[in-house]
Amino acid sequence: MKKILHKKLTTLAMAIIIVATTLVSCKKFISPEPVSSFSQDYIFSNLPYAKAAVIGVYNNLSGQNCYGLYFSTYYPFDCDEMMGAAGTADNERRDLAHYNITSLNGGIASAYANNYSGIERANICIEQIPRMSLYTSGSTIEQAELKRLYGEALTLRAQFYFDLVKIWGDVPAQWQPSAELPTLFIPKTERDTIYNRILNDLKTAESLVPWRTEIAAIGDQADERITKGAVKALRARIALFRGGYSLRKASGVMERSADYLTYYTIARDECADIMARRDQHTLNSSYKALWQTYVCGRNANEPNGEFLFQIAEGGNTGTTDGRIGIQNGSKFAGVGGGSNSILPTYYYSFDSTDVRRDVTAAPYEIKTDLKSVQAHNINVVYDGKFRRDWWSNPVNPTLATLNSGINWVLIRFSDVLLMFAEADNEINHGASAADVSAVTEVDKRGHGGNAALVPAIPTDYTNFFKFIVRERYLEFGSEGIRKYDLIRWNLLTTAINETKANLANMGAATPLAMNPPSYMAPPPAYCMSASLPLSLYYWNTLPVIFNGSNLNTYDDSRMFANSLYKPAPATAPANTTKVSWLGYSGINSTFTTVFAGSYKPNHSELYPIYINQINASAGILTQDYGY
Amino acid sequence: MKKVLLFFTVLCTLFFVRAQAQTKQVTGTVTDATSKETVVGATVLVKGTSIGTQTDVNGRFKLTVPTAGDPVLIFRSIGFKTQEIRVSGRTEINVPLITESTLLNEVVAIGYQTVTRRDLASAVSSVTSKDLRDNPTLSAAEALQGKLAGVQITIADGQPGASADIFIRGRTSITQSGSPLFIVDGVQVDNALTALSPQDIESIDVLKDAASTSIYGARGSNGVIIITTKGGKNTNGKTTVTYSNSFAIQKFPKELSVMKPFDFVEYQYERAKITNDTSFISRYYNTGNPWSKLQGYQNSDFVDWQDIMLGRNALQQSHNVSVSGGTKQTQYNLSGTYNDQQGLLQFTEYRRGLINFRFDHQANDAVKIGFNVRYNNNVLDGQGTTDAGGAGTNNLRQIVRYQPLLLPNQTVNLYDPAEATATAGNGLSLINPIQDLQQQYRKRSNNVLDINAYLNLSITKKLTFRSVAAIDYNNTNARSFDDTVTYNARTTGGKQPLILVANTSIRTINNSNTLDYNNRNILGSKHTIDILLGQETYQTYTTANGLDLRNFPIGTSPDQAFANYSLAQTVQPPTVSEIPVQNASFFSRVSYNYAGKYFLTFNVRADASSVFGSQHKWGYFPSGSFAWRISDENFMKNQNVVTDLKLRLSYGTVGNNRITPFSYGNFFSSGKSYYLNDLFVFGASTPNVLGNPDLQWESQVSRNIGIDAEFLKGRVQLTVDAYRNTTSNLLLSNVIPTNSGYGSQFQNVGSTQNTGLEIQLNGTIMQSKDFRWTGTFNISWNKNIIKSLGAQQSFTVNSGYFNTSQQPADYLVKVGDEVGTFYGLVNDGYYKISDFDTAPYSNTTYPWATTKYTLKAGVPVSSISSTTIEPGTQKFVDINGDGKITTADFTVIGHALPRAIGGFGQTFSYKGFDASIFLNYSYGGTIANYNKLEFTSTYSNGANLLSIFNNRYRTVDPSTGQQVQYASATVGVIGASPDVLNNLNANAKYWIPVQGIEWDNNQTFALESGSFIRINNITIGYTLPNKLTNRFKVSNLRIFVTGNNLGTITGYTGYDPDVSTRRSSPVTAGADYSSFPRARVFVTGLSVSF
Repeated sequence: MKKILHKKLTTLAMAIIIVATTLVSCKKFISPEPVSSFSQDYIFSNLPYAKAAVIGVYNNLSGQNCYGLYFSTYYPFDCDEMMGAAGTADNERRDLAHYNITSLNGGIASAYANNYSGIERANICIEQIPRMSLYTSGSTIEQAELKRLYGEALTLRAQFYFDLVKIWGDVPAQWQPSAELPTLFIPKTERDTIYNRILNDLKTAESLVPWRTEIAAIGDQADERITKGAVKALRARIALFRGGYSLRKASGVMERSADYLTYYTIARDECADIMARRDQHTLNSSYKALWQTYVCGRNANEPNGEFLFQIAEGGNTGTTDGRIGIQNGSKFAGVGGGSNSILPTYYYSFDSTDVRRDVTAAPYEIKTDLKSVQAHNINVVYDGKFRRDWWSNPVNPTLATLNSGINWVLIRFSDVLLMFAEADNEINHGASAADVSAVTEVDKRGHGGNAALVPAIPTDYTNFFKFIVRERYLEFGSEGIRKYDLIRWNLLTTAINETKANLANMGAATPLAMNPPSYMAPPPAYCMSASLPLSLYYWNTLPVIFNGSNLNTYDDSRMFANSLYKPAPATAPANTTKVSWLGYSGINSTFTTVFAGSYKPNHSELYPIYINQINASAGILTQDYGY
Repeated sequence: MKKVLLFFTVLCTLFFVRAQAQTKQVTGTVTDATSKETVVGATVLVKGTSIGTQTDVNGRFKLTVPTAGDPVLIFRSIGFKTQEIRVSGRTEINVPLITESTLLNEVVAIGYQTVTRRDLASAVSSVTSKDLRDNPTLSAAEALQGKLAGVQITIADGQPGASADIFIRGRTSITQSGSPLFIVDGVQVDNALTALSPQDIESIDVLKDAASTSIYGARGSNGVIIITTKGGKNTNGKTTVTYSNSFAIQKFPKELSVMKPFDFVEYQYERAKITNDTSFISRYYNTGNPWSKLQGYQNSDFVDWQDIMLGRNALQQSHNVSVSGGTKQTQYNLSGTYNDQQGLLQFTEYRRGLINFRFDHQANDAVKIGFNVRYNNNVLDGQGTTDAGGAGTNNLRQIVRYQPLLLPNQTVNLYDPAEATATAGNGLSLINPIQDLQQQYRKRSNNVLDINAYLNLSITKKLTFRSVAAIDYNNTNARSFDDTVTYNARTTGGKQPLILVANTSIRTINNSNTLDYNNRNILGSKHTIDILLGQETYQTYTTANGLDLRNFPIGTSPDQAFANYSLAQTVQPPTVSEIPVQNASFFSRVSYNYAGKYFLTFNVRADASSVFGSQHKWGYFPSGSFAWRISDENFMKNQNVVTDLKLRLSYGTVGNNRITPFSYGNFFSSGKSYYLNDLFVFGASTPNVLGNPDLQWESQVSRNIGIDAEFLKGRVQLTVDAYRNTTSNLLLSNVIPTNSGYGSQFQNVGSTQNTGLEIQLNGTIMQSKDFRWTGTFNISWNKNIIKSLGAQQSFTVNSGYFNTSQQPADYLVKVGDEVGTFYGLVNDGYYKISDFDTAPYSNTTYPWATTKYTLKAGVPVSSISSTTIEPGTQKFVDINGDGKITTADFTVIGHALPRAIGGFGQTFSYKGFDASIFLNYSYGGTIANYNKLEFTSTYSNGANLLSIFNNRYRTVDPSTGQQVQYASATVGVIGASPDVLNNLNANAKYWIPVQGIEWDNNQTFALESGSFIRINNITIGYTLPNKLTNRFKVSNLRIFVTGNNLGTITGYTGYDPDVSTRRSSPVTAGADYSSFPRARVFVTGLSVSF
C-alpha cells in the first residue's frame, strides 16, 4: 500500500517537474531577443553606442531629404541672387522655386518628415544620455565625450526646428520621445515658443561642447561634428530670426515682435564670443580656396575654422549623400548641374575687383573633351562654388550622376562677423568702429585682401544696414542664405519686384540702365549702366585646365577677351567665340516670365504642409497662410 | 520523340484492331439494394470494350457479350456505387446496387484530423487532383481561380512565377497580409501554392469558419488552406509509373493603342509650342520649316514596341514523372517535375524543378511512420516590366512611351543617348526598350527544402498519439546587374555597371504532438466522442543580407561581375538582418455526435507569440459548432428528392499576429550612418515605425450558418454558407502624425466586418451509357466594412505606385467604408472656351493672337493644375463647393473590391473523350488604371501617349500647324478668336495632356470597372482504350489540348482586369501600374501510366 502511494507520488512529482520546466522554457522560447537590433537600454549603456545614436541624428541632416538637396538647392530660391530650376510647371522643384506651390507639391513632403525624424532621434538622445551612469560616474574622458554628445543632440534638434519654423512657420513641437507622449496628435505650436526653447537649449549646449581645438583632448578627431563655435553661431543666427520678421498666422502679414532687440543682443553677444576666439575661428585669406580647396576638394578641415558648421555628405546613398554640385553647380562634359541660375542682376552686383563674382558665378561649362571651355550666354550662368572642374579627392567629375559627396556649409565665420555688425548696428541704432571693422574684414577678403578696394562704409544706422544687406548678398551667393535673410528683414517682396524690373531692363532689345536697389547699398554705377556689353568673346583656347586629373587652375576672369563692363568691340577679336550678353532675348525668355512668377506677398514666405501630412493629423493640423 | 512515336503507334493500331470473337446474350435486372426498386437508365458495360447498354423502364437490360475470357460487366448509375461482376457463364444477372454519396464519403482535412464530409460540422471548400487535372498550368493558384466558393485568388500579373493574393471571405486585415495559413501534410508552409507542383497535389481543403480554423488559432483568422500531397497506394507491390507533359505557346492578347508616328510628332510639335521648349521636337526637323518637315512623318513606319517586346511566341513546357506503388504495409510516391516558361516579355524566363518524395509505412498494428521530402528549385531570369523600385525602374513605360518610329540611320535596337537626354523630364529618360531590358540582368533563384516526418502510435484502439515534425529551408538569391545605360547605372552607378546581390534564407521548424481519444459507441450506445489534445511549436529564423557594389569597369559582363566583387570601385556597406520568431500553442478539440445525426464540436487554442511584448504574448481562441443531419430524421425517410440534408452552425474566435517582429518595442537598428571626413561612421536609430508595447493579438469572431444538401441520390449537390466575421483589436499599421518622427505604428485599434454568402452547386446534368455531363457553379458575395479605426475616423494611404513618398494619397481608410476605397478627384472634362471672358489682344510676339481670355468670375479655379488655366486645361468637380478646385475636393471615388466572384464549369465525357470548360468571373470591382493616367500625361518631352489622346483639346491647328492658343503666368491666356478655337475643338473629348506631376492624382478618369468573365480554361482530352494500351503495357494514356485565358469579356481598357500591383497592403487593392500582361496560352500534352 505504502509502496503504491510512493510510486504515485513520485509520478506526480515528476509530472509537476516536467510541467514546470516546460513552462519556464516555454516562457524563454516565446521571448527571443532581437539580434539585428538593439534595445534602448543597451544603446545608452556604453559610449560607442551612445555616440552611434547621435550619429543617427546627424544622419537626418545629410541626404536628399535635408541639406543634400531640398534645403540647399530647392527651397532657397527664387530671390535676388538666383533663380531655381527653369522650365515649365512640374509640381515639384520648379514650382517651389517660382512660388507656384500647392499642398500637393511632392517636394515639400519628405523634408518636413525628415526633420521630425531627426527631432525624434534627438529627443531620445537628449532624454537618455544624461541618464547614463557613465554621464556622471564615467572616466573624465567618458564624461566629456557624453557631454559633447548631449550638447550635439541639443544643437541638432535646434537646427531641425529652426529649419521647420523658417520654412513652415508655426509647426507642432514635441520635446520628448514619441513613445512617452500620451498623444501624438498635437496642434501647431507658436513659433516664438519654439524659438525660445531652442535658444535656451543652445545656451545649455554651449556649456557642454568643447571648442574646435579642444576636442583632441577628449580623443576626438577634427571632422564635421559640432563644436562650441557652431553652437554659438547657430544660436546667433536663430536669435536674428527670432527678432526678425515672419509671416504670422493671426494677422496674415509679415511682423516682428516688439522685443526684437532682446534677440539681436543674444546674436551680438554670441558672435562677439566667437570673434574673441580667433584661435578657434577666423577667416581664410582666400575666398576662392574655401570652395576650390576645401568644399570641392572634399576636405572638411579648413585650418582657420572658417566653416563653423558644415554638413557631411558622403556614401553615395540618398539618405547620407547629397546632390550638391549635381543638381546645382556647373555642367561638365554634358553631365549634371545647371538647375539653378545666377541672375544677370546678381552677376552685375559685384564690382569689377570683387573676387567673389568669379567664384560664385560660372558662366561656362567644360565640354565633352573634358578640358575645353565653352562660355555661356548671360542667361545660363551657373552657381560656381560647387563647379565640377574643381572637384577633387577623388577627381570624378563625370562619374557622379546622383550624389557628389560634397559637403554643405551651414555657417561660415564671415557670417559671424556680419551678424555681429548687423545686430550691433540695430541695438545701438548706428554702427560702431567694431561693426565697421567686422564688415571691412569680410569685404577686404572679398577683394583679395586689398584694403584699398573696400568701399567707404557708412556708419549711420540706415545706410550701414543697407551696406550689410549688400555685403551679405555678395558674400553668401548660392549658400542658401539670401532668401531667408530677405524674409527676416521683410525685404523679399521689394527685392523680387526690383529684381524683376532690372531683369526687364537688361533684357530689353535696347538695354536700359538698372535701377539702383532701394533696399541695399548699390553697386558702382558702371555695373548698372545701359552700355554694358551686348556680347562677350571668349578665348577658343585657354591655358587650361582640366585633363582628367589636374584641376582648373586658371583665373576665370581671363576667360573673356573683352571687358564685362564696357561696350563690346565692333569686330570679334581673333581666336574667340561670341556669346550673347546684355539685351539678349534669352534674359526675357529664361527669367522674366518665370522668375518668382507666382510670388504673392504675405503668402509665399512660408510653405504649405503636404496634403498627406495634413490628412494624417486627424484634423488637428491646419493649413494656413492662404494655402 | 519517344512520346511522339508511341502516340503514332497507338493511333495506327486503332485501325487494325478488330477483334473477332464469339458472343452470347446476357440479361438481368438492376435494383436499388435499399428500396428494392428497379433502377432505370443504369449503364451496363463490358469491361475493357465499348460494348454496353442501359437499363429500360423496368430496370431490365440485354447485352451481347463475348464468350471468351470470362468478361466482367460494369454497372453504373448516379447515386450508387459502381459494381463489377464476372459473367462466369451466366445468362441472367440481377444486380442490387448500393447507394453511394461519393462526395459525402470524401475525407476532409480539418486540422490535425480528418473527417468524412458526411460528419463535417464546419464550412470547408475542397478541390481534388481531378479538378486540377484539367488546367495544366504551372501554378496551382492559377488552376484554383474561381473554383472555390468564398476564395478570391488574384494573380499579381502575368509575369512567370508571379505571386498570388489569396483572400478567404474578404479582407479582415486592413494593412497587414491577408494571406491564409497553408498546411501541407500537417505542416505550416508559406506560399505553398507557388512551392508545389499542381501534379503533386492530391487535395486542397479550405477551412473558412472559426469552427474549423480556430484549431489553428494563432494564424487562422485569414482562413486555412490544407494541402495533401499525393502519396502511394496499396497496389499489391506493383509499381506505377506516370509521365505527363505539356507544351504551350503563350500569346500577348491585347495591346494598348498608342499614337502612331505622325500623331506622335504632331503632338510633340504642339507640346513644344505650349512649353516653348523645342529641344526634343527639333530633332525631327533639324532645319527648315518645322511644320512642313514634319509632314514627312505621315509615311513613317509604325514601330510597335509592345509587339517587339511582348509579342513573341513564348514557349512553355512541363514534364512530370511519378513512380508510386506500395503494399499494405508500405506506400511510396516519388515525383519529379520540370517546368520551363518563357515570359511574354523578351529576356524573361522561369524554370522550376521539383522533387517530391512521400513514404508511409505501417510498422505494426500500433505504429505508422512516414516522411515527406520536397525540394524545389526555381529560377526567374529577366527584369520584367517592373522592379520593386517604383516608377524609375518601370520598364513598361519605357516600352509604351518610346518614340513609335525610327529616325533615319536608327536601327531597332540602337541606344540613342540624345533621346534619353531630351526625354529626361521627371526622371523618365527613354531608352531603347531592347537595350533597356537587355542591360538589366536579373536572376532570382529560390531553393526550398522541406523535410517532414510523422509518427502515429495507436496506444490502444481508442487512443492515438501523433507527432509531426518538419524543418524547412527556403533560400533566395537575387542578383541584379545594371549596365551603363540603365536607370540605376545612370543615377547611382556613375554610368558604370553595378550589381546588387540579396540573399534571404528562412529556416522554419514546426512540431506538433497530438493525443486523440476516439470512442465510436460509448458503452455500446450511439454516442460517439472524440477528444484531441495537442501542443505545437512553430519557429522561423529569417536571415537577409545584401551587397551593393558599384562602378565596375565598363565592359564587365554580369557573370564576371558576380564572380569578381573586387572589380567594384565602390562598395556600399553590406546589410544584414536576422530575425527570430517563435510561437508556442496548446489546443484541444472535443467532438461529439449522436447516431451520426447530431454533432457538437468545441475547439480551444492557446497561442503565445514572440511578436508581442511580455504582457501580451498569450491569446485564447475558443469556438464551437453544431450540425444536424436532418435527412436522418424519420420525417425525411418517406421522400427521395432530398437524399442528404445537413444544417451547420458555428461560432468562434480566431487570432492574428502578422506584424513586423519586435514592433512592441523601440529597437535601434544600424544603417543610419554619417560620413565624417567622407568616411563611414556607424549610426544607430529607431526605424520609421514607432514601437508599441501594448500590442496584442488581433481577434476575430466568426459566425457561420450553412446547409449541405444532396438531391436525387447525389445527382445534385448544394452547399450554402452565410457568415459574418467581425475582427476586433485589429492589428493596423496606422499612419501617425508626422511630428512623431515616424511614419506609422502598429496598433490594435481597428475593427472590420465581413458579411457574405457562398453558394456551391454541383450536378450531373446527363448520364447515359457513354456520355456524362456534369456542371459546377459557385458564387460568393462579400461585403467588407470598416467598423472602427480607434481614435481616428479615417486616414489616407499612398499606394506609392509612382512615388512612395511624394504622391498624394490615392486610397482612403474610413470608418463605415470598405477596404480598398479609392480616394481622389472627380473629373469634369476641361475648361471650356465659354468659361472665359474675352477681350481684344495684340502683340507682335504673338501675331496670331487676337483675343485675351480671362476666366469668368464664378468658374472654379483649379489649383490642382500647375500650369496656367486656359481653355482645355483639365478640370475637376468642386466637391466641397468652396468655389475652388483644391486638394480639399478629394473624395471617395470608387471601391476596388468586387461584389461577387465565382466560377462555373462543365465537364463532358463520351467514351474515351473528355472535355471541360471553366469560366471565372468577378463582378462589381473597380480598377485604378494608373498606366492610363501616366500614358496620357506629358510630364516629359518626347514620351508617346495613348492614342485616345488624339482626340484632345488642341492649341495648334493640325491642318496648318498654326498655333492658336498660348498661356503663361506672365502673358496670360491668349489665342485666336473663340470661334476658331471652338471649331477646332468642337469634338475634343480630352483635355490638353497634363504637364505637371499632378497627373498622378487619383481621379475618376483612372477608374474603370473591373468586372469580367473569363474563359479560364477549355480542355479536350482523349483516353485511349485500355484494351489497346494494355498491349503496350500502358495502363492509361491520355492526350489533351487546352486553352487558358482564351477570352475575357470586360470593359477594362488596360491589359487585364484581374490585376493588383500594389500588394504590400490590402488597402491598395486594385491598382494597375506597370503590370506584366497576362498571356493567352495554348497547351497540348499527354499523360501516360505504366
